[in-house]
Amino acid sequence: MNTKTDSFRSSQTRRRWLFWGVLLPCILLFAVITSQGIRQWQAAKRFEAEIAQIRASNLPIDNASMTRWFREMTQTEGATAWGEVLLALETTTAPIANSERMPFVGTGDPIAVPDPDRQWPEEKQVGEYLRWIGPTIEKIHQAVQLPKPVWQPIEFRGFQTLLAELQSSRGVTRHLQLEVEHALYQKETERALRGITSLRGVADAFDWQICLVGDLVHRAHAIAHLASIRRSMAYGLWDEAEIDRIDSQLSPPDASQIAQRWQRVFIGERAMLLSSLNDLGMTDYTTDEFGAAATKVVGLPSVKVGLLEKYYQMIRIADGPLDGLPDRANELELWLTQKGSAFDLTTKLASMWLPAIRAYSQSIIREEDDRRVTRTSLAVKKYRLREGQWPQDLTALDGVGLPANERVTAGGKPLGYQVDGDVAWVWGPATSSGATRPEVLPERPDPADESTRDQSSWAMIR
Amino acid sequence: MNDRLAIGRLCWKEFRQLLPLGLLFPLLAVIFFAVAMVRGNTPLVTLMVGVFSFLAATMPGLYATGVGALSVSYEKEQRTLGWLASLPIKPIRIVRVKLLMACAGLILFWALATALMGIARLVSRQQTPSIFEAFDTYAWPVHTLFLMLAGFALAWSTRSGMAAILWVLPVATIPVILSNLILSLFRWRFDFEIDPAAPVLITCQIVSIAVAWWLAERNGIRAIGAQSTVGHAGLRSMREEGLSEPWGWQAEGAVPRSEPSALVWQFIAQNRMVLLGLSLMLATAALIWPLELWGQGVLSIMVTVLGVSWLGTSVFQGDSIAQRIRFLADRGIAPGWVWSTRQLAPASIVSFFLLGLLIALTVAGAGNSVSDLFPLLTLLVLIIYGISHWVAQLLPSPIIASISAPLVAAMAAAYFTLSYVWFAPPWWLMAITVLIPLIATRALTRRWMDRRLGWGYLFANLGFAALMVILPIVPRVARSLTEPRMPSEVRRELSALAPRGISASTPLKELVIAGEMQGQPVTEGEPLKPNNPLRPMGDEWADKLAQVRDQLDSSQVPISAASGVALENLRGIAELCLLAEGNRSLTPAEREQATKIYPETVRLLAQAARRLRMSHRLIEQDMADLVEIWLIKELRRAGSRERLGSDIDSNVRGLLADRAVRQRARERAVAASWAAYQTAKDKDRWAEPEQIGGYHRFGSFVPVTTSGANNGEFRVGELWQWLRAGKQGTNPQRLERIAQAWGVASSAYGLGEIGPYYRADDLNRYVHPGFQPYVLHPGSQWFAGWEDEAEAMGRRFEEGNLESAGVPQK
Repeated sequence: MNTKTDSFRSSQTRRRWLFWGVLLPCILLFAVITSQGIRQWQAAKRFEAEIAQIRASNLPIDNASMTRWFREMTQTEGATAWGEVLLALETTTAPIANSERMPFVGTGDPIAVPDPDRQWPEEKQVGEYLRWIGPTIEKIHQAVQLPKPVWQPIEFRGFQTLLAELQSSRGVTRHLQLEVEHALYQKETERALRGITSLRGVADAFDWQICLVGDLVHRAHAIAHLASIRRSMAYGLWDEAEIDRIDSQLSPPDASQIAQRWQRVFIGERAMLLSSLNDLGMTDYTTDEFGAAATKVVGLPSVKVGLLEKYYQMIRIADGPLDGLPDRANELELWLTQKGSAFDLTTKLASMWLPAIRAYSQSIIREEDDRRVTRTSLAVKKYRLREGQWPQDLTALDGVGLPANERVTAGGKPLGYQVDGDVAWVWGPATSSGATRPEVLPERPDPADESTRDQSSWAMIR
Repeated sequence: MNDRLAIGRLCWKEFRQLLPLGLLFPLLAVIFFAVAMVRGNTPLVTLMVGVFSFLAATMPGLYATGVGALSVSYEKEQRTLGWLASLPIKPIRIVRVKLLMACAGLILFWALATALMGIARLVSRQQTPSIFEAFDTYAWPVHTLFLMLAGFALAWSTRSGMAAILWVLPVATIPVILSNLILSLFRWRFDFEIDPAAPVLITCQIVSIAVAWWLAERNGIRAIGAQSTVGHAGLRSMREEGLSEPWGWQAEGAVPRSEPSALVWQFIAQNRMVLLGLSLMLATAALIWPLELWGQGVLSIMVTVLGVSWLGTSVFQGDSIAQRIRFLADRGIAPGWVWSTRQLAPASIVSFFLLGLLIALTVAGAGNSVSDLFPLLTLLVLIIYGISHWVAQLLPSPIIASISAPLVAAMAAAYFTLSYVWFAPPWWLMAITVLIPLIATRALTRRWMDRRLGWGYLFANLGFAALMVILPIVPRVARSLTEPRMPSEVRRELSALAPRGISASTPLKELVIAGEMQGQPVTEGEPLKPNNPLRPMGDEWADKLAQVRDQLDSSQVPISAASGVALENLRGIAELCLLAEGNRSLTPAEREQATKIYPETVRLLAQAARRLRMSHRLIEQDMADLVEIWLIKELRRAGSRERLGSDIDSNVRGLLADRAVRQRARERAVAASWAAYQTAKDKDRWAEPEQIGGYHRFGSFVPVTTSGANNGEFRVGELWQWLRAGKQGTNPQRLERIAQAWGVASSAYGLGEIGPYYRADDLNRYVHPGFQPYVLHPGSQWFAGWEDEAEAMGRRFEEGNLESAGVPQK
């Protein structure tokens, strides 16, 4: 039988249990918040250490070091000459009513099918245009002889950095493409070859491995160079010596160069990110209170360390075979956008600053595939010149010195090859599939068919 | 008592009871619009006005939810229900007076909401919806009437006002659930020609209103009738409130006076219904948040804000009813124990909620957009809790506290966010600021327990509130007081020189040369016509030049820096003309044309430089510098005098040699830019002006600050002192200081390894960046080597020393 004292004691015990039961969630929440505070403190220390290490490695971490890094990577000798070229080409317009439709230079399409037997109705206008800008083209030929890559007065401001000269440089390539096309049509082989060589020179001059945009523009130049070579194959103008001269521009890149380029690009991207984190004026996100509030969150040490870790992973994935790069990039991009924990703020708020590495890796593979298609098409023509007939298949190109690994895509798939009467065709994988390892199209693209002709790189060889 | 007089008195009493609630919303409106007026139309203010519009539209709903509790539960809290019952007025009349007064209030609130949303639309320039757009059906106004009547029905039959309000929330869904049930049952049977949802819903609402009215009257009559049958109203009231039963530990006769566990137990026993209801609310919120569909919506936010806020108010609310706290005060319970044990249970529920939410978000898995915001949500919840419990301690009426606390807490959270963004205080100071509500309630618990709630108590609370508002601003103000300023003598000089009546917003009479060198507009898909008439490119250039010349000759006003594109095109034409001279594929006539065009481009650019110098803005002076540097480079070319002709050559040399004109133009521009900046500051002291001397701030958002003025002052002051010091005063230290003040890379001022490519000290190394406005930096070419060369070119030429004047000799 319970006594009054027992009852009192038991109610007191219940109250004590209640008290601790009520207190426990508060303690737990306090522990969670405290652990997050400690995490931020540790992250701040780690961030400082990481920055110190990057600085000690003489790598860029801010605008000033980006400026220095860019200067070290480039040559100033041709800065003025290239500046004048860019100015002239920015200013010039074709003296015709609808100059914007000018092939290559305007927004108009290039001639769909390069064909020496076909009439080129616009040739007269193109010729007139080139007659006037001939000296500028000449200036380009001279400028590409200067030390490369060329420095230009870029003012680095984090993600707000304007790369106006880089964008203008695309006009140089377009004019050279027009020059080459016109020279081929006129059967002026030396002029065309000079143009092709200068196209490579422009790609090298604006080979700014400082950020993603820089490298993508460089790749656009390089791809334009390759495209012009492939288009030239349709004219059947080249002799063996000329083919060798062109082929010498297409040597395969060293794996370490690809890795080094990739690393430089992301080191530059990281520096731009760090500049933007240090000075929010370097971003687009401070134009109103919402953006400013968001950048306050992104400025948390844990977020900054999280971003550095992500860039570290991005820099590292270049190590390894080239054909696996898109897979690795794809995997990493998925990981980058995945959530860690509920406290991981880097995912949503910072993902807008992370570069599209998958697309970038695919652009590298695309350029490599383009290069192999181009080089193979040159070898096919060389075989024809030597043997008097088209090769039965691409393995026959061993005889003209084309290594077997140049006749397949970067993913190891054999390139497409077909002889159709007096014309041979070489083509590569589908570029528009978006797959990490695109398949080579089963049939050659039809240049007359707008829906398929841009699906892969191809060469029509005469 | 005269029946009519009694009814009048009752009405007056009801009016006074409802008045605080009626005043609260216009007060919030005033604060919202004041912020909007101070900050102008920034995106945030637009959102704030939008949010306010939403609040204005929901305001009648909040009123309808709370008015029953206010009108009825207040009587219970004040123990005046017995007094009402004792009046010689039928209970039904008392009940109806309350209902009708509440109805009048509801109509008034709808009128007020309509007016406020109209004002919000005016402030936000039509960017917010009208009240009719916000609630595109009549269902919401009708629903508020139902809410109000349901609130009365519940308030009459529940013990506390908080419980009545809590019950209103689930009851509010009845008409909606009912209509959905009907729709789901009958939708497939009938072929409605119109959307059946609205008619069915309104029917359900009307039926619900009728039932709620009947219940409100019935419950009211019963409650008042019960009061009149009980001998001792006070005792009845005590029994209603659960106080008639002595607490266990009282009965035991061994009161553990300071035992925290007993105090916690007593708090939970006293508020168990409220705590249970709020726990359910927050449990619902924790489940809703991870759902993508609802988690980002208004529902999860509203349930969280209301639940947490009411938990905050529950800290002191239970003890405020009928002055229960006196029981503890009279027994000498330490304020510290009271304060902390009152916090414990609500804080525990909040902690449970946050931990549960964390688990729910983690279980919801990757890709959940809310989980990124969990830390921010935690902070928001703690702020709302802190502010709400402060409001509950400050306001004597728990009902008013319950209704106003969510709004006040939301405003405080908005203030904390904005002050952190605008004033950028250190995080630890912000943490202290967020903790001020807890500090305030702890400090004032003794007075609150003793019910010393007079002016002293009010002022003490105001003091803490002021501290909370001011603390985040302190570092910014301190910085503004200590950061470098413009010396007073510089200010005097600038003021003396500055033209009167100049402001950044005054439209200047200036010329923006249109000169995009683009071809004709093209129709999409238009092919290049084979028979397109060919035109010599030289004619194109000549036409472009004529366009620029016509524009320059059309007026004598200064040129704007926005003409940079046109000037850049002139430079390009000059380059193309020089190239054309040696182009053997051109005919002699075409080369001759190019030869004629070239000097004209140089002449026009020299004219542009003069007109740029006329500008009262800094940026045009810097553009003029770049044009003059380009002209020097042109004069350096072999055979330039022959190419340009003696008139143009002399003209350009005269321009370049006139250092005094250049200096005067710069001084005038600095002073005028300063004056315009000051005028803009005087106009809006809260905001940093958009630009100084034509230079826009990089990253246009700069917080409300008093230091912005000093920063602008310092920048201009540095430039002015440099101008006065001249070439002798140009040194790396000064250049570095100016670069830092203007936030420009020091290389732009010639410093560092690549500086010589940016600053024209040595024209052989300098790389001309063109004339686009984005390449300009304040004063970056002042007193560089090019000025000496420019002067030499002019002066020595006049003296006949052509070679030393830079005239290349053949």
